[in-house]
Amino acid sequence: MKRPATGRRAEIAVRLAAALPGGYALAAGSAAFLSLALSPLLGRAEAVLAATMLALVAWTVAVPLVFATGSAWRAAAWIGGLAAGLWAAATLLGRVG
Amino acid sequence: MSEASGESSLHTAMTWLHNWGGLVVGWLLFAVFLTGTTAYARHEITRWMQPERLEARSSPDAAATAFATLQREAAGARRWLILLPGERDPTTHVYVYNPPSIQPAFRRLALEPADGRPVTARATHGGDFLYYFHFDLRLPGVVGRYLVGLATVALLVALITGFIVRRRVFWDFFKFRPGRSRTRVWLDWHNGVGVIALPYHALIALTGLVPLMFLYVPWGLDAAYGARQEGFRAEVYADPPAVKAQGVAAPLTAVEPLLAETARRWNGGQAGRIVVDNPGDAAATILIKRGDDDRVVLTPEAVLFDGVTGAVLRDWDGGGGGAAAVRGGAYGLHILRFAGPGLRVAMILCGLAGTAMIGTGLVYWVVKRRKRDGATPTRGQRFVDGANLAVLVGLPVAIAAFLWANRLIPAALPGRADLEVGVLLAVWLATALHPMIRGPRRAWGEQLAVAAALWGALPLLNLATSHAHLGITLARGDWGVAGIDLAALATGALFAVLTLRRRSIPLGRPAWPWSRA
Repeated sequence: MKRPATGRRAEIAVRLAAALPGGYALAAGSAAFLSLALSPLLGRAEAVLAATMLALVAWTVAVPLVFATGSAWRAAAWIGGLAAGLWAAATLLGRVG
Repeated sequence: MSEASGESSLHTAMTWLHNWGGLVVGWLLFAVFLTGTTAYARHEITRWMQPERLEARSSPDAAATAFATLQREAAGARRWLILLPGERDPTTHVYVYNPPSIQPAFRRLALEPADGRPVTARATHGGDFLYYFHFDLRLPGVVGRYLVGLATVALLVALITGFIVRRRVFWDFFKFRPGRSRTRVWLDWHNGVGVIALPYHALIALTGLVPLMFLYVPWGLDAAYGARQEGFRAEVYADPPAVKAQGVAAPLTAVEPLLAETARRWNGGQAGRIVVDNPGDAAATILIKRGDDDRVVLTPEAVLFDGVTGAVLRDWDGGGGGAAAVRGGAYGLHILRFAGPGLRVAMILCGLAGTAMIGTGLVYWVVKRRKRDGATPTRGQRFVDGANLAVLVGLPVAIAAFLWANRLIPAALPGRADLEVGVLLAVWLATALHPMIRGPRRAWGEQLAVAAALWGALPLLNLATSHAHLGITLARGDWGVAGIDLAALATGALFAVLTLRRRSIPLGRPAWPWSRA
């Protein structure tokens, strides 16, 4: 294995950050948002169960996508933006509900 | 970026993620898969490790005899948790939780189902040690559970990326390749056992996240319920909050009529556990939960009774919505308590296929780089080779040592159960130090030979030290205990083949500079 060049290393670091902490934040945001958003439809307990299982699937699917995306920064922006958006929506729903 | 280069850069990215992600979590995943596979035979391993109880049987009186014993021995307790015996585990397990006024705060009892007397057999953690190791690595707190959860996500990622990288591999596996290289053997096996049992691997990894999902991702539960999660726990797990004792003595009602009532409600379904809160108090409650071994989807079926009058206070009928059913189904499929002997053996073979998929992948990582880079491996490659040996061969050697310790440590020695575990850990540590002292080339050969000897001779040791050996268990048709000895023979044979063929495979070859020392 050749040593990766500095640029490549930075790219890998960005992708790892997007996949692991980023992917987890995405899962956490999805779980919180979906639990609140689905509650009126399914009932609270059902919503929490469905949201938590979907959140784990979301994280799992996000990791390969982060590495498949052409640009590392674009992948990180997508994950970060989605996670932040979901958290913001969950906070809003929590206030309203 | 053109279509073609997009395709190939995707392929490169997925290969990178598969190779490096797989390497980082591979050792942990191998240990989780191997011990998880043994968990399918958890109770059979425990029965093998308590040969004195070969004839022990479950009893329909187990609940009543346990109640009688506990009313004598643990009258002032805050809670009794009684795990009823079954065909595979003929022991009544009891956990006693005491109020602050009674010491110790927590006690574990193992009772004979028929008469409620304490079990008198050698103390051992048995198959339970491997079962718990499988999801918490026996580390303090929740560290192990988090590590296993992360590794599970990584396994799912490795399955997805592996499938993308090697879509055509299924057919490759059956291709006739007379001149195939020796290193290629490892890749073929990695792909072969990976693809053939892919539905199993995907299912077991996905469902493996479910039992602890609220530990991993508590944010939905927090968002919807905040700090008041008792209602959720009561509804989803049939774990209602305990009421406080009134301090007024009142006799506990008999348990048999309550069991008759739950059997009627569950169309003959059997009780699995009984939770008695405040026994002997006017506020006593008795919660009877249905067992897991006669149904696939584990949604809560339980009845809460008043502990004095026997009146029904609350009933969980296993209903609930689709999400509850999906969770219960995932949980039930993962722990597989419903499986009869045939399905159980099939799932053990699938678990071994998964273990082999991870192990061959790790070996291929080294073998391929050794071939590509010649005889001057990097420090990293040496480390991976040594770690591979310590995990892929070292853990099986350590588990064999655990079983040997079970027969060789005197049955009456105090603290022997923890000593057995100590032997496992010490031997495992030794297998990790061994390649550093002997060099990987010799260490591979020696550990493979030790694994073959320890596993292959286990039935002989059993014959020499117990009355639960193959001659007796086969004659009695006790396939649970006999199966452990037979599996040991098969494992010994596998390691014997690997020992004899290690030069052509090649494991620990060619000699690397540091190994000549």
